[in-house]
Amino acid sequence: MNRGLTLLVLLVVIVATLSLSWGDRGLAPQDIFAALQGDPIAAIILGTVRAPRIATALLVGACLGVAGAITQAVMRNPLAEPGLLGINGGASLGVALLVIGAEGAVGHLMPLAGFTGAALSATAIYVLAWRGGTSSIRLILVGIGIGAATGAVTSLLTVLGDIRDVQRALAWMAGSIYNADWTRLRWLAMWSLPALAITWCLARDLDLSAFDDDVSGALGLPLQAMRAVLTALCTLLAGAAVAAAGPISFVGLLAPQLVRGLSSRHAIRLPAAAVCGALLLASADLVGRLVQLPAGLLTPLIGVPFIGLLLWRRRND
Amino acid sequence: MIEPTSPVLLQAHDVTIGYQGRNVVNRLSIGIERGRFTALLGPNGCGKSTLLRALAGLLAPKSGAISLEGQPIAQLSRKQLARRLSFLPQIPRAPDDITVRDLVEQGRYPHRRPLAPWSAADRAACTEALELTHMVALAERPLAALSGGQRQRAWLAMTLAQSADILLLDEPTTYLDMAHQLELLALLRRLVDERGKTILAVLHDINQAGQFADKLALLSDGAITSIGPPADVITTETIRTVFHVDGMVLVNPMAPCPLFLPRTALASIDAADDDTMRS
Repeated sequence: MNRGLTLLVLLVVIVATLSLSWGDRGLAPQDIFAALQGDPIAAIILGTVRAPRIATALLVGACLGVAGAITQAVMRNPLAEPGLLGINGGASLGVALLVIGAEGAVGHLMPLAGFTGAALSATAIYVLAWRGGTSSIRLILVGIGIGAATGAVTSLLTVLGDIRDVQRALAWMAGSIYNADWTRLRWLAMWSLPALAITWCLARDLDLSAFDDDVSGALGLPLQAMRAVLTALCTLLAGAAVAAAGPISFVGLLAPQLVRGLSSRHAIRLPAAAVCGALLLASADLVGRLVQLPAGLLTPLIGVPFIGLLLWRRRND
Repeated sequence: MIEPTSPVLLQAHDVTIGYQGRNVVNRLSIGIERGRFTALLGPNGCGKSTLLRALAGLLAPKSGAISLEGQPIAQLSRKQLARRLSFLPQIPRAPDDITVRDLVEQGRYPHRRPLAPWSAADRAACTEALELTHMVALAERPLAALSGGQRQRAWLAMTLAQSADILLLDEPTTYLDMAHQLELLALLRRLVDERGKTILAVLHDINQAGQFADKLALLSDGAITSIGPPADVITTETIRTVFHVDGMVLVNPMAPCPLFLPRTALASIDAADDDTMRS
C-alpha cells in the first residue's frame, strides 16, 4: 500500500479518537473501550452524540474529497471543485426557498431541499453547457454563471424573508454537523457508499478523462458518456454531503490537491482524496467544537491560506 | 465487398468533413494500404489533421463512409477501434504531473477489462514501447520536465503501447531536431518492415517523406491532388500546384528517390493562406 495513504489513514484514526474522547465529559481511551464492552454511560455519550457526529464528518469529508477529485479530472483543472457544478449554490437556494418560502415546521425537509437544489443546479449546468457534446471549459464558465445566479436569488430571499427564517437558513448555509444522528447518517451512507464504490471502479476512466479529448478518444474512452456518468456521480456525492452537513467549502478543493503528489493514478488518488477529505472535515469539526464554531466556517480558514500558498508556489509558471 | 486479402486496410470513401458550417475536406477518397508507410503532405490548412481525425473516428464525416477492412468504423465501439487503430494528435495534452511510465501505461486502456489487474501482456507492451523509443532511462521523469523532443518520443511510446496495427500520426517530427527526426522516421520504417504496422503520418519535409515512406499523398484544399510512390508524386509540377513553391527535382545520390530543391515561393501563397484557420 502507498505510504502517503497509510499515513493519512493513521492521522484519521488519531483525529477520530481525539474527537471521541474530547467533549463536555472527557473520555479516556479505556472509556471508549468500556463503551464497546457495554458500559452504559460511556455508551450513551458515544453512541448517541459523538459517534454519529464523527462518522458523519468522516463520510461527508470523504464524499467531498472524491467529488473534488472527479471535478478536477473532468474539468481538467487542478483548481476546480464541486462548487463549480453549482452544488453549494443550488443547495443553498433550495434550502432558502424551503425555509423562507414555505409555511410551518420544515426543518426535517432541509436535507432533501438541499439535495434537490444541488441536483437541479448541476443538471442545469450540464444541459446549458451542452452543444453537440460538452467541453471542460464550457462547463466551468456555465458553472460560474449559474453559481452567480443562484447566489443572487438566495441573497434576494434573505433580504425579503422573515428575519427568523432567514436566520435559520443562514445557520444551515454556514455548514455544520452538530445535529448529526444515526438516521441522517444512514441516509448519507445509502446514497454515498455505492457512489464511492462506483467511482473507484471508474478510476482508469478518470485517469484518461484528464487528457485532452483527442487523446482520450483515440485510446477508446467513450468521452461524452463517461463525462455524463462522472458528473452524475460527482453530483450525487457532493449533493449527499451538502444534504447532510450544509455547504462545506474548500474540502472538495483541498483534499484532492493535497494528495496529487502521491500518484497520477486515480486508483490511488481517489481513496487518498477520500481519506484526506475525511481528515480535513473531522479536524475542522474537532477544532470547531473547541472554539464553538461550525465546521463549515473553519474549512475556509484552512483553505484560504492554502490557496495563497498554491498561487505563491506557482507564481513563476 | 473487400476481400480480407485486399491491400487496403483503412478506407475513406467519398467523405466530406467539416466543422460547423465550413467544409474542410470535400468528397475525398483514399485507401491506406496494409503494411505500408504512407505520408500525407500538403500546405497549412489543407485539411490534413481533419482527415486524420476523421480516419481515427474522432470526427464523424458529414457524408461518405470510413471503413476498416470493409466494416464502417461507426459500427465499432470506441474501445474496439482503439485496439486496431492508434492516433497521435499534433499537440497532445496530458495532466502536467504525469510521469512518462504512467503516460505510456495509459496506452493499454483499450486492452484492459474493467477492474482486471495489470497483465504480463500489458507490461511487455509498455517495456517494448519504452525501449523502441529509447525512453527507458527517462521513464520515471515527469512529462513536464522533458525537452520537446523527449516529450514527443514519450507520446509515441504511449501510442506504440496501444499495440494497434494502424498508426495515424499527426506531424510526429515536429519539435524534433534533425537527428531525432531521422531516428523517428527510421523507427517508423522499422515498425512497418519488421512488425507489419500500417502507418499514415502527416509530414512536412517532402524529401524526408520521399526517403522513408512507401507512398506519398498530397492534399490540397481538402482533396487528394496526387498519390503514389515518391518518384511519381514528387515532380516540379505537383509541388508548384500544391505548395505554391517553385524549384527543381534532382536525383537523390544517396537513395533511390527524387529530391526536391526549392527555389522560391510563388505569389499565390497569400490566397492559400486565407484558408488556414484549421489545419
